[in-house]
Amino acid sequence: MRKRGMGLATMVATSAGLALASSSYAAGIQAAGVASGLWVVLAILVGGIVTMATALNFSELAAMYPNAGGVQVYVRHAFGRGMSVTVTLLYVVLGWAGGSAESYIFAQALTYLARAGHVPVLSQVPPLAWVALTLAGFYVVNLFGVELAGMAQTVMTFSMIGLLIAVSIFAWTNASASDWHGVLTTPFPHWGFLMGIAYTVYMYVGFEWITPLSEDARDKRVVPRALPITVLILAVCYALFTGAMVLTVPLPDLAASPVPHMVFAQAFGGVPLVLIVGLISILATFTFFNGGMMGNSRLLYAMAREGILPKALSRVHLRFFTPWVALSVMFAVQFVLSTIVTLTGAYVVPILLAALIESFVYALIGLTVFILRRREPATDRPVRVRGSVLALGSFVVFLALGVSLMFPPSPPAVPLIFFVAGTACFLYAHFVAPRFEERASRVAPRT
Amino acid sequence: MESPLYLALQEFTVKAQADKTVVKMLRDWDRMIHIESTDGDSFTLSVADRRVTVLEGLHAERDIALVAPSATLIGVFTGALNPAREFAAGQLKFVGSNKDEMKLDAIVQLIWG
Repeated sequence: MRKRGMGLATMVATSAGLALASSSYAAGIQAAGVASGLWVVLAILVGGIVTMATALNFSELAAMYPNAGGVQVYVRHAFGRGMSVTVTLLYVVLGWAGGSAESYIFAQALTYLARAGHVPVLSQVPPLAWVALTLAGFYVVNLFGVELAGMAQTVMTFSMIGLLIAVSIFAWTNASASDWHGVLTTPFPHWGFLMGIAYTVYMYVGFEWITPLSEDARDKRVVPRALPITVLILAVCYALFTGAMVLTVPLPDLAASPVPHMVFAQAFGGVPLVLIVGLISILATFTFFNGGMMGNSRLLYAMAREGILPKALSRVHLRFFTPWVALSVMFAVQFVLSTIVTLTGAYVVPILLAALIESFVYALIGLTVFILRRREPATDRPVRVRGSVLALGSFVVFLALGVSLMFPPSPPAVPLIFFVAGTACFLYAHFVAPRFEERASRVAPRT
Repeated sequence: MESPLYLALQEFTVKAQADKTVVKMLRDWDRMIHIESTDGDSFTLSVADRRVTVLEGLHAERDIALVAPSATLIGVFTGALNPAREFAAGQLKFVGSNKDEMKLDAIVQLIWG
């Protein structure tokens, strides 16, 4: 009697769509800056391998607890409620950080596109106006509860992946001998290579946000299978495209722009390629915000419903059935942060902040798998990688990557904001949230 | 003899039908909601033409399913338990679309506050 749920292709498309963002290309070039040119391709692939370990950890947990709870449920089982709430709040901060970088970079891409296409009216629109229009557009779409159908999401994401791979192969095969000579003579960067891997963590951010969809899947093997497949696809796409950019355009030119993908398109293929890459960028931002803004507002809403956050955030719009207060708060905070990033141009800070938060979440997930194998050995595990090397290994590796992101060349604002936000989330989860919960439980139900 | 879960669902449907806002929300929302107890009888809440009725057993193709132990389901439908907390704790499973989830939760909030 059960209806058909989401299949593997739709789940992979949803997962990849959440991770593929316009800001990922800027992150790739920042990684190339520290990992010395074409070594970034190896850094992205190594980043993909360690993220694959995390994907397998998530697969084990998603198959263990297919009850639409996601990370907060896994962490709660291993570490208790306080840590679970801390991690959930940090996810909200991560969403804001990623959204700030994404809206700024998307605005810059639109401006670039308008100038390249010689559309004078659009090219004179200030970036802040593009940021406001972009965020307002996604706010309204989410407020009205417009959801991208599974098939549309699948077609959109795979079109984007196909275009990315085609453009990349075109660039790799048409690179000149001097291009190859320039990048192949670059010495191995050692410490910079580790930093490069850490920077690439941002490129995979969000792939795991499909774990709460386990119950919507056709069967309970879909999400555990989709996670590693998505990481593999992302690693190949990012490695090919970032490599194509670095191979054909001087790195300083790419690194000087928040939209290196557009700079690459202009330099390598002129206006036609700018239009194609511009389209990829629009699709990437759409799939990023389509799931991201709604997902984050739902996190706030769910925490408010549990009594962890103020009750006002749990209000539902009675016509569109969307969490309009949570969504409005998300939008307001996102707009303020995006404005700050736009006015300062400091887009690298939110990118590295998101990578730092995600590194610690991935480390925690590795530890969660290790702890739960000992604490709940009898729980059914339809997906399980033998031994503890993967779980403990990903804990150690992501902890190291997270720590490395706190040191130069990361801007000092990155560790500073991380510590302030992390401490605030921890204190709220352990000292304020219990009071809210107690107050909520004192309200007698109307029976 | 009718089970406690059946009585809880009956009470819920009476309250839902008595609330004008809830009845208004049920417009164009015909759904078969499976209430699947993991340790007892299961029921179906049938929403059709703004009317909610309780049916014994699992009827027709479901649009939404709520799966939990009987005590949890009774607690949720009598307002004694917070469904969001039960969901987060892994005690209550929801199967269905995001929109249906929000609508059902909005109805529960309207009835129980």
